[in-house]
Amino acid sequence: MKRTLLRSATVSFDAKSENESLSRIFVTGFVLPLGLSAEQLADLKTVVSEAVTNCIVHAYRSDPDGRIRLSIKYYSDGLLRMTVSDRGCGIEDVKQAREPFFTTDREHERCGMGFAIMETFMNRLQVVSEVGKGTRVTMEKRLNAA
Amino acid sequence: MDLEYKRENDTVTFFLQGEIDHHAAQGLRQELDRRITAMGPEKVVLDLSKTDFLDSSGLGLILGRVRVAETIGASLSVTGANRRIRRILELCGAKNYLDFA
Repeated sequence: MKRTLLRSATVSFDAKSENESLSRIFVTGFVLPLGLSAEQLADLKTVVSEAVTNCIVHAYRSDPDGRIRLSIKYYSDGLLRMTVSDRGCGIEDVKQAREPFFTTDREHERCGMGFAIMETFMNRLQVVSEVGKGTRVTMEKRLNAA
Repeated sequence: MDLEYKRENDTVTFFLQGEIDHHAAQGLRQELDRRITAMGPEKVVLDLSKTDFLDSSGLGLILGRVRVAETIGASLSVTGANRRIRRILELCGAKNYLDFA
């Protein structure tokens, strides 16, 4: 069966920590009509929070002038795709960054589990990054309505 | 975020409410450290029964407070975490570092 796009939405916001909750509200609003379980919703809120926090803390190093773009797409076969992108410093070694407990910011109590959580809670995680240009994180989840 | 707590003998329990993400953790970190250090309890308990959301930043906050408690010779435990928060704590191996009921 051919996959068709049913719905999509995109939001762009400042790389400020206050906006972490905004990203979760945006995701919650988007998936509300899909009737997900509380568990599924919590997973989506968690992964988007991790991805957005990475942009704020690592990509822009808390520079509030940075912009974060969050895009969500829902397809006819139940696939939900969320993309979080920034134009920050980029990741030198994506493979290393994805390893559990790896962090470049131990001083601020980062525990290095962001990507591991995204990987565990979603069906697919793709991280594309270029140093000096930015990072795009794409997460996919096959949703089954509650 | 208001930080509620109660002191019983040598135990101080902090009630963490709402959503604990990177933004909330920044303020909570200073407040918790200030109170833990000033009160000097033997046991610190973080009560998460009113915590709706916690991500890896929240976990970092908790593990960081384990270290702060240790510096004053206190232990730290976590209580009241809901199923979803427990899943995060377990996934991140927090059982190796702290007691949680």
